[in-house]
Amino acid sequence: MIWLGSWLLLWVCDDLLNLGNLALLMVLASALCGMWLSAGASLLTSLLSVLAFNWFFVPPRYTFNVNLHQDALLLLTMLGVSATVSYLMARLRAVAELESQHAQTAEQLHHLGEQFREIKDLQQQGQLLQTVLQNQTQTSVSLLLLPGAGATPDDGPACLLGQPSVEDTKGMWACVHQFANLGLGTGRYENQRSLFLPLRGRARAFGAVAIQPLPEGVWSDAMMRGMQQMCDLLGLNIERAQTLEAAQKAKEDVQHQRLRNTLLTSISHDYRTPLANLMGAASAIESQCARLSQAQIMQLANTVVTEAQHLNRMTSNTLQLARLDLAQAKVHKDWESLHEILGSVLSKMRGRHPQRVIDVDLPDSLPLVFCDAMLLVQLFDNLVENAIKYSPVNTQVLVRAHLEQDQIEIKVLDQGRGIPDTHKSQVFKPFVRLQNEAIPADASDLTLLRRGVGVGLAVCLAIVKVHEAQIQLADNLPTGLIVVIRWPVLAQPKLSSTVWSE
Amino acid sequence: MALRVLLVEDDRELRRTLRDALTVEGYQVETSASLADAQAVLTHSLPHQSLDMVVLDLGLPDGDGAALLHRLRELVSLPILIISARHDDDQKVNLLDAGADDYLVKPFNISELLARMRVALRHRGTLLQPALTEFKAGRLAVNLNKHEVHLDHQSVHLTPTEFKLLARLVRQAGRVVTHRQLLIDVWGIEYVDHTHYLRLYMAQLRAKLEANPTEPVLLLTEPGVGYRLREPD
Repeated sequence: MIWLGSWLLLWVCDDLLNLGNLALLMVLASALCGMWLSAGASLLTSLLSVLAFNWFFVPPRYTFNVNLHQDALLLLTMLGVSATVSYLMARLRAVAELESQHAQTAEQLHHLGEQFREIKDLQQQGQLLQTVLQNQTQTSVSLLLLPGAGATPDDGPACLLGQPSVEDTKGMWACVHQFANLGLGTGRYENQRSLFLPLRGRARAFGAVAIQPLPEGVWSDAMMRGMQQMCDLLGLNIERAQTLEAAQKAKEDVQHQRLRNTLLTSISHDYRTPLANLMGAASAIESQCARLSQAQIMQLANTVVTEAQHLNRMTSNTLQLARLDLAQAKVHKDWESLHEILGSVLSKMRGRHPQRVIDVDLPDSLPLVFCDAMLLVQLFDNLVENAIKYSPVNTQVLVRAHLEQDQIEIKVLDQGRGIPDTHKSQVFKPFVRLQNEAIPADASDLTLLRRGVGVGLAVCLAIVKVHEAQIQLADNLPTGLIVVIRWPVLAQPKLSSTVWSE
Repeated sequence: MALRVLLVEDDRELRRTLRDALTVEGYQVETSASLADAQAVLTHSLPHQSLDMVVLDLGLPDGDGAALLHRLRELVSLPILIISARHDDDQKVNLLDAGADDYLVKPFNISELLARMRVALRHRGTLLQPALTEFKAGRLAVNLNKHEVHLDHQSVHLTPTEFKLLARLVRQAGRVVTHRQLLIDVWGIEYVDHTHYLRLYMAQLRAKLEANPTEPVLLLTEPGVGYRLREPD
């Protein structure tokens, strides 16, 4: 078209312009051609047009002879300019094409990255990469995934996607080990028919892909680079997932470590005393039975039962503390009545400590609370037991509750020695007890104190926390401790009208 | 004739202690240390009626005692008392719902075990006789046929639902009835999650029948599991 136009123009202008100007028109036409045709084609057309120009316009016309040297130079220059323009245009086009390929690859990578983010399952991510690569290459692609810690077949499960031949599987393993691409067109193991690309993380490969050869032969560098980038994307993705997992595991390890420490402290400090008492009493019965009076045996048996109960209580507290310490502790909440819970705790306490005065002051009705009944029982059991343990036998223990706006305030009051302000927050930590010197006490109290707070209050705090309630210590006047619990009151469950109308 | 009890417990010490304690109380005790063992005793002591009770530990070396519970429940109405170290309320409730007569968590007191055994055995007796229709404990007297409730010989008015709830507990007096069983039998299966109904009606019932509703002596709470009506006199 361009040539047709320019030739037409040339005919028209033939008489108006001199040869030099006509030649410039030719150059323009050949440059325009260069924009659309490939380098070779435009060179050819340029050459043809120069010859034609010579034939038609350069005197003597209709021959290939050139009269003047100047005209010859003009023709040569024209040819040279045409050729240069064609070449430059062709190069420009090639660069532009490469650019658009890059953009396309970048777009693809971005898209792939997003899809990887959405899919959490490693195998599915592998399948996605496989599909994308297969669509791009139009040949079959297989994958080796190594989600495990190491890079040998023994380090955790490897996962194969697609149906790789034995050869390809070997190639993929080799690729993982060498941490570099192998096979046809890479300069390494050129005798292999397939192309192997590693799924690279920062320091190691998390698998490899095997790509069957193209029917027409070798991979272009750009294509290979693009595919490698996709593979690296998955590699980095796996690496990131592994790092996260490792961090999570480290956190759990710390938790378990703490748990173990708790248990160890518990066993070394708090279990030995009751165990020693148990051992003493039981072995006395065993070895001296015949020489002991009925009353003495009864006394020893009583020690055994008491110490066993103490151990049992400590065990369930420690276990509960350990359980609640784990983030995913299972708590069964339901609508519970404080009257019922406190009632069952108190009846147990009265049975256990018949000599003590335990008073209760509850309003006739309180809202239901949404909680784990067993935990609530354990909470009040510990609090009342502590109140009894740390106050003189002839004093009163009082449990009192009342509704205050959107909270139920429950108090357990005793008339013991209380806890000094400096220690009030300390006692909620597991296995912290009051130092003996903090409270001057007579000998019998010392043994009581030696029993210590142990885990009791720590469990109470943990139980209160899982219910979003609060626990505080205050001083009872003139002497003693008040444990104050503020329990949240939630919107009460509805009763259907038919049930309630009777 | 002495009552025969099958004791299934894998711990040798506890087995011996329990066997001795039960023997002292006058029971004739068969012991087995595993599921297979227990199974053999049960098959060879046909007819099953010759056994009067099973005391079953859950964690056995060759399987879960719960399996035996389910198999036994399909065959006979033998009282079954579960003893287990597992302190899991869900399981406790499930086993009670599956037909266990009672459930004791280790470690327990021998006197507690003996008391539970007596209750379970008494119920087995009542299974063979006409269903219990009259209940008397302390100040309370209930006649299920006549729909009458008396407290200190004074008639007490109960709403129909309150009466249904009390009657359900009377039928299993002395034994724990799970929340689930109560909700299904009194309100219906669609109310099985409405524990708050139970709380409210139980509070009303206690207000009418107990001298001190906060510390009941008749309608006892088993936290997280259900309720238990005191054993009749």
